[in-house]
Amino acid sequence: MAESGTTERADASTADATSGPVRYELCGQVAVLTIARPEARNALSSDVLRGLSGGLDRAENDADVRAVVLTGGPRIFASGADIRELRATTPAEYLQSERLAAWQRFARFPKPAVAAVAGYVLGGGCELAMTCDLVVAADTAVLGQPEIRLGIIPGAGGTQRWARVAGRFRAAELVLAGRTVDAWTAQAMGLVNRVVPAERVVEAGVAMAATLTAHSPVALRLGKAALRASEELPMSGGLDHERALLGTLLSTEDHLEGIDAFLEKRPARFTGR
Amino acid sequence: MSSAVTSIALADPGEGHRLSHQACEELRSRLRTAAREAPGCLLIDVEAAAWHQGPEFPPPGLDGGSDVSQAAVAGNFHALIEQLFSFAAPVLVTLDGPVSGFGLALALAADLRFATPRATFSLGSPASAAALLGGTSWLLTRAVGSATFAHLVWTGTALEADAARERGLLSSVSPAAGTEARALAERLAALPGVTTSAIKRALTSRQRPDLAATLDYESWLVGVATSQDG
Repeated sequence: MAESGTTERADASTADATSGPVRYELCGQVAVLTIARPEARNALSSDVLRGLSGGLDRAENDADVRAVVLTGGPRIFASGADIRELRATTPAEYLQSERLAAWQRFARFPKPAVAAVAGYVLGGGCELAMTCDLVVAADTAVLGQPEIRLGIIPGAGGTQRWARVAGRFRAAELVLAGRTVDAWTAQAMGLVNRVVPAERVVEAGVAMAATLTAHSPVALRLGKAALRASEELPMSGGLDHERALLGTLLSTEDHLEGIDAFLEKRPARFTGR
Repeated sequence: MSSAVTSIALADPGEGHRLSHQACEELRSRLRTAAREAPGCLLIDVEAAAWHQGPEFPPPGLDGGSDVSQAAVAGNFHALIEQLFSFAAPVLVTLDGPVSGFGLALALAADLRFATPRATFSLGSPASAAALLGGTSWLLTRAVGSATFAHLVWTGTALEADAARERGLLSSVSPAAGTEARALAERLAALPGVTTSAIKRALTSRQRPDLAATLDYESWLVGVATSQDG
C-alpha cells in the first residue's frame, strides 16, 4: 500500500535512493531523509543516527539542495533511542560515542530543515524534531520525553529545547512527569507549526520546505544562524550578531537581485552568491 | 459617520456551474470591489440554488472531476471563506433555495442569515468530500454547536428553514426575507462606522486564527477523503 500521495510524488522525482535504515531522496531542491526501521518503531539506533548524519552531510555538500525534510513517513517518526543499545552502554562509551557526534551534527546543519512527524515522536525522536527549524505534525502525532519512566532524562537537548520553546513549567510536565502531548497541544505549546492529516504529512513537509527554497540560499543560511544564535546569546550579543550577518548579506549578489526583482515586480532568481 | 449598504446579487448559474472555481473567483472579485467601497453593511442576495453544492462536486477521477488538490482547495474555496469571514463590515445573506456543502460554509461565514421558507440546509452526503469544504466543521460548531454538525454530516439530512431557525442557523424565516434583510442592513449602515467596526472585530478578529488553522488542516483532509487509493 502506498504510504501517501506525498511519498509517491517524492518517489517520482527522486534522483537517488539508498537502502539501509535511512532513505535519501530528492524532491526538486528538497532532500527527504526518511527513517525506515519500522520493525523497531524507527528507534534511533547508532545505524539510524549514522544514516541521518551521512544524509545531512550529503545534503549540505549538494549545492542544488536548499532544504531538507526529516521524516519517518506517515505512520511513525521515531519512538526514541534504541533502549537495548542504551542499556549496554557504559558512561565512558556514551561520552565518546558517535551518537554524541551525530547529535552535534544535527544541531549544526546549516540549511533549513523541516521535520515531518507522525505517530510516536518520543524521546530522541522528539529531540530530533526539535533540532529542525520547522515542524509539520500529523494529526496522529504523540510527542513527549518519557525518559523519566526509564530512570533517566533526555540527553540530546530535550530538557533545554522544550524549556525554551514552551517555558520551564510546561516543559516540566513532559520531562519530569513524562506526559505526552498530541499534535494540537504541541502546536499550542509552540513546537509544531502545522497540523495535517497523517496521510499527507510528508507531502506537507516537502511543500513547506519547497516554499523556503524560493529564497536566497545564503540568506536562509544566515537567517537560520541568527535564529540559532538567539538560543545561545544575550539580547545585546544577539543583536550584534544579527547586524553582522546582515552586513554580510549586503555584500551578496542575491541581495541586489532580490531588491531589483521587487522593484521590477518580477520573481527573484537567487543564485546563492 | 455612517455609510451605505453594498449589495451583491448572486444569480443561480444552473446545475454544473454552481460554486465552481469560476463562480468562487467571481465572488472573490466582487468582495474585493465591495471592500474598496468600505460599506456600512454588505448584503448578499443568493438567488435560488446558487449556493447548492449538490452534484456540482463530482469526485476526482471522473470526467469533469473536481480539482481537490490541497493547493486548489486552499487557494480557491478556503481563501473565499476567509475573505468573507474577514469582511470589515457586517455581512447579511438572504437565501431562497437549497444551501449545501460549500454553500453552507459561505452562508455561515456571514454574520446573519435570512431565508425564505423555500430554503433548506445540508452538508450533503457523508460520502462526499463537499462536507469538508470551507471549514463547515468549525463554522457550524461555532454558530450552533457540534451536535448539529454531527447530525447534518452523518445523516445527510437537509434542514427545512424553520428547523434551521430553531437550531439558531437563521435569524429569520419569511417570504419577505429579502425585504427584512435590506431593512436591517440599512439600519446597520446608518450606525456610526466605528461602532459597527468594533463589534465586527469583536465577533471575528480573535477567531480568525482558529478558522485559518481549521481551513488549512481540512484542505489536506479533502485530498485524503477523495483519494483513490484509500
